[in-house]
Amino acid sequence: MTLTDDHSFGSDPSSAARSSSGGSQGLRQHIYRALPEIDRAEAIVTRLRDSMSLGLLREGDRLPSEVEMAESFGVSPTTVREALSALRSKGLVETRRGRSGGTFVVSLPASSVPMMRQRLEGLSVVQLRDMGDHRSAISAASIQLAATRAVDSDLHAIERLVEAFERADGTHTLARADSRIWLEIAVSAQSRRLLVAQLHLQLESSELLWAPLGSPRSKSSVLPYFGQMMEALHRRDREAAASAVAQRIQDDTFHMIDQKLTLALHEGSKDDNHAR
Amino acid sequence: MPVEDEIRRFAHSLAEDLDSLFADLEAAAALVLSRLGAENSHSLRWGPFAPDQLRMMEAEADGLLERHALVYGAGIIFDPDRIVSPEQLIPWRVRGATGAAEAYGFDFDEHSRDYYDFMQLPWFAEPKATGEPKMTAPYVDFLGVDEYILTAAVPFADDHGFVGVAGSDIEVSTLEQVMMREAKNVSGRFVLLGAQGRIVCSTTARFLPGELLEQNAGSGHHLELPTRVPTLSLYWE
Repeated sequence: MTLTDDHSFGSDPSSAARSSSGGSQGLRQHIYRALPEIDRAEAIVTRLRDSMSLGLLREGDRLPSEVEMAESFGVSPTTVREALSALRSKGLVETRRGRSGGTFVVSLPASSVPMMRQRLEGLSVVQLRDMGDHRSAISAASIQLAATRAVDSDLHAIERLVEAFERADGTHTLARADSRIWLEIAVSAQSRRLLVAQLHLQLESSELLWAPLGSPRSKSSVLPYFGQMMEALHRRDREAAASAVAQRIQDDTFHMIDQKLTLALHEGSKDDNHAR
Repeated sequence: MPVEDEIRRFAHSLAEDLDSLFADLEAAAALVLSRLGAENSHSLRWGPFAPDQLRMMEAEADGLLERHALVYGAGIIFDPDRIVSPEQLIPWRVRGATGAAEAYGFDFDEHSRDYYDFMQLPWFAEPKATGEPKMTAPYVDFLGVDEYILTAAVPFADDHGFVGVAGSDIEVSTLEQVMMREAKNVSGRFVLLGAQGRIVCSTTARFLPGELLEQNAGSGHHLELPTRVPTLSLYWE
């Protein structure tokens, strides 16, 4: 199973009932899974927006009904309506009446710098470090399994995604191309559970990682790691693959925490009487 | 102002906050002892507590949450061997979604998978053994409140010995926010450390919370926060 733009997320060919282009119901359910957050309407907006950013929801896709979403998110229909109204006012979805009506994705979110900044400010350094640890654990385990389980066509699929990443430009495209590689590695590990875990992590981290704040994450500093990972995969060298992954993600974590600290320490006014 | 003075000033301001927290915990422990100790002095096991006695303990905890923005949860934790009703073991209050205090329920059924056995945890075992107040290093409070926290605890005892602790949890994330606000006035980078050199938070991505300082550090400066009870320390290079 592959995870390129032309293919679906689904591994089960019998799951033919698709709500829209690409993506089996199985994985899509995770877009609508129950929420831990306290501010639930805002959390729904974030989840749906991130799903659009990652390309799991595309222009023209129809969202489930308000009742269905209320049930899968575990919130009241009022909360779902509130979230959809916020998405409508951002121009991301549109609600049409009538027999073929429903709520549709009409445009993909542009990365808003203030929004990313706000999100980074809302996360603590501990949370960012923990997110990195989680990514590292899931991704290292995935690539170790992929190193033993991947066949040539799997490796080829990852390679094409790395090439797509090389060509990618702009926050949004880079975030999405990067995510696709990590998801494809989990696919090559033949593990649905690791794929789902990676999907959640990418939804949470990828836009933030590539956000154009301060000095943004640079593509060229990430590319050598993908090179090392591919080389290790071809050699079926589990340790080297995992080590490249760990270093790449450690760099990501450092970058995000550095951005966070720069925002926290240098924004706003310093004490006027404080001489430097 | 030289960096060292800025850091000392920060240390003093944080130490004041922590001292005042410990003073409030001592007051809560003393109040529980004076209100409940006399009527329970005839037996080894205290309780069961009447509704107004539970409300008194809740009110103490709520006052603590109100006075200390650092604190996420507070209450009294009794020694299971010194209390009649297991369900009254931890009258505990946390900040709810709206910021108002609410009750937090723990699982006390020994046979449950989520049974919260705190007897061996440092915030309980150490004050019990030493009779001294304790501030722990950061830890993930699994099956407790399931957060990454530090706990400050003050023991209280009657003629039979240790009865319990007045405790409060500080979320690492909250401590970090406070530190970031203050750190704007410090021109150098520094690290806040818990017991055993575990990093609580820092103003540089070189030092990550949860890691041990000794594995990252060169030879820098150490400064214990000037608190009455040993709490945290600062490190800078």
